[in-house]
Amino acid sequence: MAGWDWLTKPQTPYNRRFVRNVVIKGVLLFIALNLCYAVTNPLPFLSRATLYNSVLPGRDRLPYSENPASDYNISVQRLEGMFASIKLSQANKADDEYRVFFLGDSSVWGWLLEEDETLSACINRGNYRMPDGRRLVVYNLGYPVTNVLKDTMILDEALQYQPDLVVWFLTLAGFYIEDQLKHQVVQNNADRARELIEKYHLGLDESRLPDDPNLWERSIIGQRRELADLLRHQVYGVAWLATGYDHRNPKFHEQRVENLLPGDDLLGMPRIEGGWTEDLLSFDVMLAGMDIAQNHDLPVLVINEPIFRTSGFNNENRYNDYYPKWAYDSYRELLANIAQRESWHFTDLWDAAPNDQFTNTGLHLTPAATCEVANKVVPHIMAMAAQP
Amino acid sequence: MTLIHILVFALASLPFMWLIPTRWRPQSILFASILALAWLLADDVLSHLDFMVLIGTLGLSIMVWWVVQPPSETMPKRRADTQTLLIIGGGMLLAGLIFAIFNQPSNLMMPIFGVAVATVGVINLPHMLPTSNVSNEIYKRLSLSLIIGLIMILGILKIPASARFFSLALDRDEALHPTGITPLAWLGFSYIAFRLIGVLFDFRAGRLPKDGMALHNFLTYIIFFPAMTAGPIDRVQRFIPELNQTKPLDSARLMEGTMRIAVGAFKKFVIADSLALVALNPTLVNRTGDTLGAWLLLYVYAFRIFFDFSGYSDVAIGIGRLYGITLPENFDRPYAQANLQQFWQRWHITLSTWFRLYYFTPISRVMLRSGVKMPQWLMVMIAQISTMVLIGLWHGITVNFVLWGLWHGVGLFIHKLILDNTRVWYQNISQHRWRRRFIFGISWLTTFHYVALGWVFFALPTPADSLAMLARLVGGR
Repeated sequence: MAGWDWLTKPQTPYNRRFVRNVVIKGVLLFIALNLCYAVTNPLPFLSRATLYNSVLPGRDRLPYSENPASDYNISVQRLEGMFASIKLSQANKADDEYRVFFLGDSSVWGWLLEEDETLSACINRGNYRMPDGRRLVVYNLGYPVTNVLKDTMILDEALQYQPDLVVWFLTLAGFYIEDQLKHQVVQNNADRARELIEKYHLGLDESRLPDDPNLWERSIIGQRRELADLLRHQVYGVAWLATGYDHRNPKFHEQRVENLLPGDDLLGMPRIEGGWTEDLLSFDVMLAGMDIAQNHDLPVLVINEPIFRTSGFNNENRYNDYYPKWAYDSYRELLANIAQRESWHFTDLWDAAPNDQFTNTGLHLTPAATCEVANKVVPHIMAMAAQP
Repeated sequence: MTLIHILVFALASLPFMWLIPTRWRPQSILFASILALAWLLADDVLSHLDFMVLIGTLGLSIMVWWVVQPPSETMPKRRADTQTLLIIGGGMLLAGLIFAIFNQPSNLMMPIFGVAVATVGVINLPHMLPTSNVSNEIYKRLSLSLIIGLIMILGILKIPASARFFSLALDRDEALHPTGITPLAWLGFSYIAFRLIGVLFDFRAGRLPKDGMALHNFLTYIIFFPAMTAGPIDRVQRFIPELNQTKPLDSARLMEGTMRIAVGAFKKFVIADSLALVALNPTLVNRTGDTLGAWLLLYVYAFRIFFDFSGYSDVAIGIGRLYGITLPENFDRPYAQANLQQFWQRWHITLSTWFRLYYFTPISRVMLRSGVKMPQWLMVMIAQISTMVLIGLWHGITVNFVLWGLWHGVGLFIHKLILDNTRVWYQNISQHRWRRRFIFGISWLTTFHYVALGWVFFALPTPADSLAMLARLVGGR
């Protein structure tokens, strides 16, 4: 058949020697390619090589998905790859741009929200001007789930994109020491996490990070999953371009829990008499993040994000299914004290959203309430920008 | 077929072809096909329903073989056929045992039942085979009944609601399935049925070999494992001589087979499966906001379906080569063609050849020979549209497949009209190279887009979805 002449009518006849040579060359080439790949470790470079911001427009938020097939999105967890696909990585900073990065968890990323309904999108829609006349442009660098080490690593990566201000949204759940090293972004960027831990002497057990990959794990075969995900991320860009969807937002979803279980434990942990102390939460990680920003003369606005406060069963002991009152109140107090001690710009918006505006959890808000919160953040940004 | 299936089938060809003597190969390929079919049927567990499907496939095939056998069989051949029944029983027992060991011991009942059926067949075969005492007319009637029966089974399987009804009625283990639904996945039955119907038509037309077919050859033709899931649909007259003279696995065959599998697997598992992530589907249609996005999805689907189908065909042809059998080609650059007729001569070639041979040509002949006075264009139109509608229905009995068939039937008819009216003009411009190229370019672009627009009916489940998509393609919402 015409289309297969290259195969069925070869210039060199297929004989045993030919087959043997093909097999040997193929095996050698395969080994050489894998070795080359393992030695040069091109994954960070390949993660940056993306169709986004060239063939496809850049995405508005970092790539995250729990259901790629319906989100047309995928959780990219290497920092280079995460940033390569968003608008920020290609957006040349204009002279009249006041660039703000929003850091935080799924409530900042916009769980159950469209791309244009997030905190950052609400502010950008407002076309705000800074006191010096520059345009306020906010980039959404939120990424599920709550974790201050993950936020610190994203901040560290984001510094190269010339921010003027960082707004860091926090909640108690992001400070649990046990969870810091479990986050996928941390696990997939273990080398960077390890650097941070060593540099800032963080109270985290380094041995729980994955070891440096061995030769096999660094080969094409060893990294096939990461490579496949990179490819899938590009392919999903086509559907994302056609639909504008990057996150499935079902009409019906699980509702926040109003009536809570009895007791006042925190994820099975009994009440701590006297409440939290600095060493019981990962404030050292946050302090490291603040130090990184300070070293770059980058102001940071710290915000304690809104939570749902139930009026249902057991509301005398708990605010919501995440937080017992003793734990959350002492966290708020501790955060405020540390912010005062460290002279941070700090705003506590814990009760800034009406209770009926929380969606599926005690942290996620409706589009309207998200914009309300965003509007409450803007004056603080303006105030900080006005300071010398 | 998954990559694991393909890899195992390909690697197994090496010891198979090097260790098994040529004269045992046809029987051995049948044995391997039974095991492969059982493996392909068993997604993870070989259920009772899977075994019923296996028995059903072999039973139906044996019935058809029995009907189409010429009555003058000689004893040695019957002995070979008896051996074949033992091979079937052995294959089913082995398949059942393997799956019973690794999955559910209760499934042992089914292979034992299969072996019992085969044993009864072995004992009774000499008495069951056609003899010259029975009128050929009876077998012709039986063949017609079988054709109708096969079409009915095909119909049941192709209507989603009836397939589900029969699945639930037959499968006692339905509760074991996480979804609670066990569609009757009669693997490759569309292809099996068409091979069987083709043989029955050939029998009725006297086109089968005069000295009959050995049972193992016939069964291997029906369930040859590389071509089980996605064709091609070979013809028995071509396949059996290939099977009886399997080529040795020399260097050329090894290279051709391996490369073909590699190319096919790349097309299917890398290109098609990647494109499938974003190819046209109802959810995407509803979410697509603009015209450009809609066209993008359509183009992606057009290439996805080509790479999927042709990739599978390449894999089948490649595996066939490794086992010494040259299967017919199924795709030959269909999207590079400049008219719809050429497209259908190069898209799923064996399926369109089947319909041309067993439906289009006979129906055209019947219309020509019937006493009814009918203009020729009307005859062409009826034959073309009905053929394409049947091809659509072969993919599934839904309104959208009918619409897809109509789309192509009408397209082919219009092409014929244009061709008849422009033949002289086209011959006149044949000297003008650039004009000819320009015409070719326009024709190619039109053909590709006509085919691509047809996929809107093929890819989407309902006419409402298709209309919504077509509206988006022209700027509507």
